[in-house]
Amino acid sequence: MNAFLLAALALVDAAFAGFRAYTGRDGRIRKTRRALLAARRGLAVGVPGLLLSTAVAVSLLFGAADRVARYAELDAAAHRMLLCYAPYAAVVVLSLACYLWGPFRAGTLAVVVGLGPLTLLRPLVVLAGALAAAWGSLPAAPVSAVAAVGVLLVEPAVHRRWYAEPV
Amino acid sequence: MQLLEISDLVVDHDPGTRERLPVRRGDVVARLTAAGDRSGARIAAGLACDDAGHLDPLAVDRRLVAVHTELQRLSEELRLGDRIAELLGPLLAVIRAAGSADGPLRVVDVGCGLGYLVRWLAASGVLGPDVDLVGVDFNAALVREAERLARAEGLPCRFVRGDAFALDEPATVYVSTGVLHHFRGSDLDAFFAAQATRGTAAFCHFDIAATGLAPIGAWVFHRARMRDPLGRHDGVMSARRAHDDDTLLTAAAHADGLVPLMYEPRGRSNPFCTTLRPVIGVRPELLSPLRAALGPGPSGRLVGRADAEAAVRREASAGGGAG
Ligand SMILES: C[S@@+](CC[C@H](N)C(=O)[O-])C[C@H]1O[C@@H](n2cnc3c(N)ncnc32)[C@H](O)[C@@H]1O
Repeated sequence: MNAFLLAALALVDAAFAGFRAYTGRDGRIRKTRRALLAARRGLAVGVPGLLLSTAVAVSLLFGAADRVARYAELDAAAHRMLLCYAPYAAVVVLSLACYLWGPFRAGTLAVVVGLGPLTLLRPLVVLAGALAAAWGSLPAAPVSAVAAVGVLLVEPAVHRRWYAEPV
Repeated sequence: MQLLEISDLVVDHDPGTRERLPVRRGDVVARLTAAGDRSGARIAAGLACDDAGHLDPLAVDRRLVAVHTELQRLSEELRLGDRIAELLGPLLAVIRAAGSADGPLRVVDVGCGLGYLVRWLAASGVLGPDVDLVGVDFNAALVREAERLARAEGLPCRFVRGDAFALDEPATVYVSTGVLHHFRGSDLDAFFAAQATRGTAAFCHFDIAATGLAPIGAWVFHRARMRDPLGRHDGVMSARRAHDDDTLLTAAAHADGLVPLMYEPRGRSNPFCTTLRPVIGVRPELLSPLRAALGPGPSGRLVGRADAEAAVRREASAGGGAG
């Protein structure tokens, strides 16, 4: 369950990373379609990273002498990772809801104290989650490291591949 | 310490002919260094130039267009369009009702950059079909890009090259966003004075609210949202250079015949909700209808100097007595 929640979070994050890679590159006013395309590109770049970390986890699981114990260890690591990401995700969702559905002054508040600083904090939160997962569990370290690097690379990769210049 | 924006230094024009003048990179770097701005000087030193040391004008234009495209993201996220429409809607309704415009209503955005505001107003149609929307900017590359973007989406607006200090475009309402802090001292006075033409019913200029929070907020926001170091540098400088309410009210008084007011001044707004606020000027006869059109809540956020407002009230009651 923890692993599935993390995977879902990683996919949503990849879509947002794709969107962020596109923002600031298109001066048009109506651009919902292009923003959705960017989110899909984020997903497309995020999925291989997710698959790779899954493959590392599976190989560690099947390579273990005691698979039940290894599974429990990896699951506990995933749980620690999730505990780091859940509060961050909750604040993002709250800020986004306020931004999208609130009056414009509330929207400004959501951006100024929520979404702006949260974007800056994101790499630190990703790393904190990876460290928490690896804490006291050597097998979890490569899984969380690959997952964190994969998550952090989506935005620069999409930006470099599709949005290096204004579109 | 003098606060300089790199984008102000890398383009120069002959004010008379509006011809572009070559800019020496060394001069830009020297000015920033003299101002104690080492990071700005480093960014300027990385700009492309020819063998004679002149900045490559095409590279500068490309860079400025890219920076302004990133900058548009801030206007989008801070819902600048909604913010301005909240005031312009009632203002134009009052002008229509008073019949005080000769000919069609015209909103002219001075220093429009890529014309986000004008294009947003054109795309949303919030001001009504009887309003001409025009953007004016001194920078030819930005005007060309604004025009290209408007055509790409078939938006009913246009963009022209022009100087804020010698406006060729008449307007019912002059507007601007993020421009005021570029002008200081007598230039700021002249900016407002240039808008006091016979046909002008009002102006409404939005700029960064000068609060203690603004430079920190600008740093966080530009760091999080902009990639180009030049854009980040200038964004933070803009917040540090922002004029306080009093300076704006004093300068706006140079627009003869228009009563200067601040909307959401310091102390009447939450700095987390109001990062940009406007200085407004209206013909005296439009002031009380405008307050009525805004309604009791927003009208309470519209504050002028006591003496200027008292003069308007005296004039109104004298006019009422005569009639
Ligand atoms: C910070 S930018 C703001 C652009 C746009 N209004 C926005 O909100 O994105 C300032 C703009 O003012 C323009 N500008 C500076 N001096 C000007 C002048 N004397 N006349 C017309 N435009 C001017 C610059 O070219 C630049 O595009």
